[in-house]
Amino acid sequence: MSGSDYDASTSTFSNDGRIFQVEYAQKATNHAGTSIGIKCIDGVVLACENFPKSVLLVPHSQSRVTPISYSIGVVSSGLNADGRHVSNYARDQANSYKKNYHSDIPVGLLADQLSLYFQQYTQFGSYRPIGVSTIIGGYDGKPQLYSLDPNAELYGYKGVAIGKGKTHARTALEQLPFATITCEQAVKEAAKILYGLTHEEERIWEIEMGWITEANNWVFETVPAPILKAAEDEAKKWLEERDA
Amino acid sequence: MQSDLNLPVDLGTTIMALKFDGGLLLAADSRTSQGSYVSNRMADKITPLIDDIYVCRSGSSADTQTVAGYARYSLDFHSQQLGKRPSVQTAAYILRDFAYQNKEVLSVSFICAGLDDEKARIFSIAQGGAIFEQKNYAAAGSGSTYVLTYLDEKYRPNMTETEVRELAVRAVSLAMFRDNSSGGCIRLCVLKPNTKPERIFLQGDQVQSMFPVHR
Repeated sequence: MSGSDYDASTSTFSNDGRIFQVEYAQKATNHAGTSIGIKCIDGVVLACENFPKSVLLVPHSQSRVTPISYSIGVVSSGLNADGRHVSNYARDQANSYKKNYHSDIPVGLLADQLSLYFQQYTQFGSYRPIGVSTIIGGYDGKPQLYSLDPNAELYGYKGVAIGKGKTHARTALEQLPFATITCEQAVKEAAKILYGLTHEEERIWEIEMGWITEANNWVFETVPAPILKAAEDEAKKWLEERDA
Repeated sequence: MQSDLNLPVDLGTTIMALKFDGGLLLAADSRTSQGSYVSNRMADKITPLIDDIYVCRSGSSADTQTVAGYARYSLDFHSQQLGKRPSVQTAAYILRDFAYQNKEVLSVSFICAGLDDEKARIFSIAQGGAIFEQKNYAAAGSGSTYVLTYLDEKYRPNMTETEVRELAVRAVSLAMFRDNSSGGCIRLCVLKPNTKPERIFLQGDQVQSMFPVHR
């Protein structure tokens, strides 16, 4: 549905109480590459699929899984430039918290500050809403996972997916045993979920993953290439068997 | 000649914090002076910051009260954000940042101490903003000069509460005897896990009996 007279600004409600620009921003994230977050017993896994626009691009030169501090990472789906702006803001917040209080920012507090930031872009006339959904994963005594949408709604999750494959991915995530799943297992599951999405339109696509685990002393990092490769190989095999 | 009453109010002071087996003891004298004039003989230099985190203040009375006030506000706000009490380290670094950022105009030094999950922690913050975590005990203020070696000699790790209390009262009494700008009464504060902080006030007669010349 079109908002007709009311869809051009965030500073005016429509007759039935909606702010169309915010809903359009949500639509922008729903067309973008899928991202997944899985909270495990020993950490958090963030994963996403990227679609390089040209074969000339260096593989993995575009990156959406982003470390924010030693103990927190984010992944955004939507307008990549907006995602990078959000990461940059999150880094600023984490850094100034560390400077002021001499301890690491709790994940929930960072997520809350990000959501307040998103909210401003849904209210002030000269702004357009932020065109990404963001998954925030990290560790502050226990593993934490949050997801934030352009309308600034923030929720805590055991497993979450955003972007164009989110419906399928969330259905798949619901089957995971969150009470027992480890990061090693979650990496394989995330690969399967991403490979299970339909990718006919795109010529090339690639997977990117980051995690924070007890084994790595609770430091957020890119999932090491051999582990990611093994997970992808397993996912490919699983896909062939499924489609056979 | 300038009158003492025109001098800034100073906490020429003896303050200390000592760990014991199962807690933490803070001790301070109670004299506030302007030169040789004692403007307050029962000052409270042990100030609560939030819950069971305390700060012992020394230096300018006005400056340390103000900085402690800012730190209190900051910690109150921060505990709302966190949904729990901030750590002793956070409290100490908030004090440190104020002391450092305004070092040109402030005359302050602190001992910030408290319990983090049953673990006692002591931070000393020197004039100018240098911060050091102390393993077992810390003493500061003009009077500390006279008793630091006494503490070095007498203090042992894992002393009992009673032993540490006796040691602290003795040390503060000795400092009050030698240091002209320490004196009055002794205030103590005992911090133990899951227990309300206990404030103790020792009046002059209880202090005097500690003076070596009266032994």
